[in-house]
Formats: sequence, structure tokens, C-alpha cells
Amino acid sequence: MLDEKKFLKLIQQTLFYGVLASLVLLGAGFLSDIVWNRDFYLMNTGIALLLATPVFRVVMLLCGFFKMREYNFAMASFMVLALMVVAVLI
Amino acid sequence: MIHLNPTSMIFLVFFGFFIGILGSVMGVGGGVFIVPLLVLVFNLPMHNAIAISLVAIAATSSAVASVNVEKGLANVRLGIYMETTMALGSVIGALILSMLPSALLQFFFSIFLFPVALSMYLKSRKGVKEEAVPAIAGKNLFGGSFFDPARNSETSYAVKKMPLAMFFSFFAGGLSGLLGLGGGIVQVPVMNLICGIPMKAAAATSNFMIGVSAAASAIIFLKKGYIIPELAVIIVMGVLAGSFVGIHALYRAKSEKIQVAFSVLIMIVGVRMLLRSFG
Repeated sequence: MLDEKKFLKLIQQTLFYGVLASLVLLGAGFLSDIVWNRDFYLMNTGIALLLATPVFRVVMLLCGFFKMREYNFAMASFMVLALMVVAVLI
Repeated sequence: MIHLNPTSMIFLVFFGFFIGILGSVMGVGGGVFIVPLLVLVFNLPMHNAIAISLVAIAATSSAVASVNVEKGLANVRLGIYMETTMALGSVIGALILSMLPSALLQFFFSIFLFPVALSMYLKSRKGVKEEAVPAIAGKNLFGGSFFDPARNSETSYAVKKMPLAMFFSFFAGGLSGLLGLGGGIVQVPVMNLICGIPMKAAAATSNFMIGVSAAASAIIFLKKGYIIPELAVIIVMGVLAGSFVGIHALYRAKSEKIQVAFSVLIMIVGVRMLLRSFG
């Protein structure tokens, strides 16, 4: 079973690596735009990843709370995830 | 499409840096500053300004939360519960509140902010003694604890009046979606004044939460092509650098000082919205 410390580490890592990966893409995209005047593909991918990071965080919370058998919090995470999907679809 | 020269790029990075510090210390996204700057100084259309502001809010939230979650400052259980009504408010707000006149909403919102600013200022004058509720923290479903370097001790707290806080969270979600704000300007005072959560934990938890609503709205703007990548990247770079500097400031700052600074921030936002509601 997942303990509290590992759970928080999992959330921390999801956020940290999400931000780091998007930062790399944004930086590379910005440089390629300045040096080669390329299109915004890399930058747009970086922005999309940055915006997806909070969604990944909610998914991790859902999985974590479910593994720790804290079903009320898992349900809350699921509701937030569902509402985010609705927000994107409308 | 706006043209960015090196001077405006450097200015935007420093501006983003300031917003990052503000966001990580006070738990707000800084949309109330980013949107007017982009509209008034860079002559950007409102939709583009709001879209870029939401990207910056999502960046601050994820960067700051990546540190605060592990240190126990951000309360994930409280955060995810309040996010349910916040997200619901965002969706319903987008569908229903948008039918109401924006000026009227801004007027009522600004009127609501003044007593909040005053309460927060008065609370800061009383000191931090009443913040901690160590005896009942363990019995409380949403209670938490964190080490506060400014006091050099562990601070435990219980969370009071959750139903009322969730109602306000719903309200914050609706208004934030409509006005292009992160929602921290409502969430932090609600958690601090109504729930009795210490200021630092309230700011960190608010920061943890606002990324979700900002990301949901920003994805819609991204799909519609309102985000100008070049501009967003420059601001995000500054915001991320400022966020990591601000985290250390949050740990070392005294809660009363953050409360005073936050009450001043709320007053500025309140006055600005009141003026805007009158056109």
C-alpha cells in the first residue's frame, strides 16, 4: 500500500517533471524561433504540456487516494477530472 | 501579431519574475496584473491577454506546488475537495454567469473584497497565536501540519466550516472563469478567515488549486488559437524563475506580513474592479 510520504513524492514529481519537460520544449522552441525562424510547433507543444500538468496531477491524486483506500478523496479527484473534461468539451 | 524587441522581451521576463514571486508568496495567479499590462501596454486583445495570463497561472501553480506539496505546506486533501466546487463553479459560471452583465458582477465582487481586505488586515494585527489549532488537528479530516522556519516550530491546524468554504470556492470558480482570474484572491481569504488555516498553508493550498481551473480554461483558449506562443513563453520563463525564488520567501516570511501584503493586494484589486464596473 502507498504511504503518505511516497504519495506526496509522486505528486511532487508529476508536477516537477511536467514543468521541467515543458520548460525544455518552450526554451528549445523559443531558440529555434529566434535562430531559424521556425514555426511555433515546439512552443505550442510546451504550452500544451504545461497545461496538461495539472490534469496529470489530478490523475495521480485519483490513483494515489484509490491505492490508499481513501475513497472519498478518490471520488473528489474523479469529479474534478470529469469536470475538467467537461470544461474542455463545452 | 505584436512585434517584440529585446527591450520589451527583457521587460516581460522581469514582469513575469515579479508575478512569479507574488504568486508563490500569496497564493494568487497574478492575472489581475498580467491582463491589464498586456491590454494597455502591448495593445493585445482581451481574449489573448486572458489566455496568456491563464498559461502563466498554470505555470506558477505547478512550479510552486511541486515544492510545497512535499513540504506539507499545500494541503492536497483540502485542495482536491475545494477543487470539486471550484471546477463546478467554473463550468456553471461559463454557462450561466456569462449571461449576466460583466460590469454588475465586477461591482458586487469588488464590494465583497473591501471587508475581506479589512478583516485580513485586522487579523494580521492580532498576531499569529490564534492560527494554530494543534489539539484538534489530528481529529480533523482536512487538518494538516507543516514546519514553519519563521517560527522555528511545527504548525498544526484543523479546518473549520468546510461547507461554507466549498460554497465560496464554487463562487470563486464561477467568477474566475468569467473575469480571467485564477481565483486565489477569493480562495486565500476564505481559507484563512473562514476555515482558520494559517496564512502560509492557505497561500500554498490556493496555489495548488488554481492550476486546475486555469489549465481547464487555457486549454479552451489554446484550441481557439488565442495563445500567442512567443509572448506566453517569455512571460512563463520569468514566472517560473520568480516562483522558485518566491517559494523561499514564503518559508521565511512571517504570516502577519503576508496577511498585510495580501490585504493591500485585495484593496488594489477591489478598487480596480469597482472603477471598471463603472466603465
